[in-house]
Amino acid sequence: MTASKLDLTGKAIDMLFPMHVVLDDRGRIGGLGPTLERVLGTGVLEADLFDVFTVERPRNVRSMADIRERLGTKLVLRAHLQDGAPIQFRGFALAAADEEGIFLDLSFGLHLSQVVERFGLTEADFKPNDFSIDLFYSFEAQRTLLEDSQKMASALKAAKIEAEKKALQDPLTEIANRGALHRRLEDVLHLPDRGQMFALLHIDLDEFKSINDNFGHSAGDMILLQTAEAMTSFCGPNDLPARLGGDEFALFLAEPPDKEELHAMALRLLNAIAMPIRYNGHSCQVTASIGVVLFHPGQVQNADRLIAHSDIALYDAKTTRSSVKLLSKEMIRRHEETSRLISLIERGLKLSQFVPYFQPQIDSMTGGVCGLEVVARWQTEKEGVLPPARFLETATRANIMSEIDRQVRCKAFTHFAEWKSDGKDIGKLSLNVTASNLRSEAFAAILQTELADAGLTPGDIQLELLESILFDQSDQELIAQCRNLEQAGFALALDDFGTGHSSIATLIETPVATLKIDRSFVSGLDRNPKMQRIAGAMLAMAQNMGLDVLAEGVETREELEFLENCGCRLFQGFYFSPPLSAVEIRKWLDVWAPDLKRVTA
Amino acid sequence: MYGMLNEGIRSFITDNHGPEAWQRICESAGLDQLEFERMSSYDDAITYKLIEAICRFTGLPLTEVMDIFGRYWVEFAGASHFGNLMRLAGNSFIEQLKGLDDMHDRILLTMPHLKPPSFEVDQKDDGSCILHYYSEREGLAPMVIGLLHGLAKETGERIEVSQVAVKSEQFDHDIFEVRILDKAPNPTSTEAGI
Repeated sequence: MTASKLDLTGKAIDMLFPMHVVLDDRGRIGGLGPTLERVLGTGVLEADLFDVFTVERPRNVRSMADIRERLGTKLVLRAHLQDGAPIQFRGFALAAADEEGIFLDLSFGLHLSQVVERFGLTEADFKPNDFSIDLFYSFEAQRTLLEDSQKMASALKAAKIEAEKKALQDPLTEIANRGALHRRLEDVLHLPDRGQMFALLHIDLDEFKSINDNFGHSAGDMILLQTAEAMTSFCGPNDLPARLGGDEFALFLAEPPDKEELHAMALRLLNAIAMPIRYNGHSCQVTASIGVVLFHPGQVQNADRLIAHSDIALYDAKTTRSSVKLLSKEMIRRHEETSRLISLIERGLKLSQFVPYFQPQIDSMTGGVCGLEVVARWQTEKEGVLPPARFLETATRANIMSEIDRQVRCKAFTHFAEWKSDGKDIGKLSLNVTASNLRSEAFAAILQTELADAGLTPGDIQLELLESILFDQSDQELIAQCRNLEQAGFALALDDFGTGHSSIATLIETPVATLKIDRSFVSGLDRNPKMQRIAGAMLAMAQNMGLDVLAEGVETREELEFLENCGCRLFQGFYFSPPLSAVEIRKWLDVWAPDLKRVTA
Repeated sequence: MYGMLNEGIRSFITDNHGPEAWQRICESAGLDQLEFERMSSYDDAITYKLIEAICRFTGLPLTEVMDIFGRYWVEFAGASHFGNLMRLAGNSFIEQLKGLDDMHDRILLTMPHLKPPSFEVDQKDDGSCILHYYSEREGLAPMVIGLLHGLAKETGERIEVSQVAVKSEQFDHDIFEVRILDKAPNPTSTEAGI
């Protein structure tokens, strides 16, 4: 039997087409499948199809005739229910067996999920081979996945915003960091130049380290927070306060006032920063310095250059102790000069142009050389031999002084070892030691290695410590380092004694064997009774303490004799010899003889 | 508008002009986001601002930008998972055109906030067709022309399109006349099935 011979029962039709609509020749609804009846209700029976449904697609299907023209094609219909939202259906129309009526087979369209929930439909309400109900399960799973995905996307977005914020924010003070300031300055520098001015205030706290050292890092953090708050209180909506790192801050002003008012504002900012805070019952306070740059878009190439300029003004403010300094052309010129000098010094280091000069120290009792003090000289190609005054400050600021010291020291050790092996009786080699040398834990070890390389021992060396760097009695760290050096075999001398305002107690604490009386107490001594009394007192004190005394800067026989009469026996100065190069001092040593000591003058 | 369209615009720009150009276009459009979620719904204004910014960036008139993007859109959407839905409609240009509404219906099941356009096709005896384009949105007709050409390119056909009616206060949709210049080779699989 073929399908065309089938005569299905009403029950079979309801089962196969649970959402069918039977229309009579006038388009009235004569019958509904059971699922559709549940959704639309029996109230729609006998109603005109177009009173219950609108045909959405194809458009313009508004009559039975229009439907008859589209038998077998896809229709999209919408049912308008009296209660609740409309429902979309898809389906197609077939001619009924009597050729007069029409049989519409429908399925749920767009609103499948809503309808299943709204009417509590189950699998039994769908024809057995209809996969629509499967879609319902898929939609539910999909909805869950979408919700999760959206939740995840929101979390990621929030995390991204937070990360971007953090990347541009200083974690402690929560103001902008260097990167954020850099970005803002780049933006401003690349604006079209319409004559508007901006300002960058570069702020550095003075002696901030002492807050951390004396009160701890929490107190230091409180100071940093107060600084950030003070800066923020001076900000307009388009300004940007930033922490560049450590105790260094910057404030970008989008609409700065005129120079005078800007200067006054910077001073007010300094006052706000300097307000004392209470920490653990102590009052903590810092001062600060500010370098100011006024600039317009395109004035400098980039933000780095601008920050470097503000730093130049800041440096000037610090060195002149002026609190606030506005950048000037003169400052830039000086800075460029310094930069050039640094390059030359670095080149000089590479070319090994830093050499030791030696000034003899004489024991007048024996007439012999009791030591040679090493001083640094720079042998330049164009200007000849330059004294430390020409490079010391710049090299120290550029952190290259220690390399110069090392170059000079190693050469001095080599020469000294040679002269010793030649049989010269030249006492100890005297080296100046800086505060940073003393604070460096590695210094003693480096020194010993260099000595060993040259074939010398600590016993060959006297270290001259500037009184001014030593000597705060409470600086136990430095005093401990002195003891270590002394125990290692180095002799210690206190240089420029009488100028550093140290307390006498320092001499008790520190293992110094020799005092070097500063030249200011020696020069003209023979003609000045007051100086004579001071020098005499110093020598008496030293003798009572069992310390050797060496008088620096002896230039005349009269000075020498007066000091000898006061009991001083060690001398250094132009009266005997100026500092000389290795070659010259070697010659000097050859001709120097105890019995000739005063003749050479 | 779903993020898919904005993502299509992003892909179009980054493919042709690079990511920096896209960043500049977004800045010019006043947007602080550079990417869109394809399944999330966005304000239509974002899309219009982007297209205006592209016009400023490229110096091309709006209609030309829309046309070019329409062609690209078919390629972009076709390469996505929705491309499978397009191919379900058939292999020829006309079949795919006729299937666009069904495809949108299917997509609507999972993207209920979509406000898809509707494309109704009247085939004529001479092989050409009249396309009725309905959309709630304004000003996208130039993109449809590009889209039709893109669709034809996908099926290996060549067409000629002219707009014969413009949507207005009196008339609720645009109408295009599409002439097929080169037909696609007949797909044997569908023939065998009949």
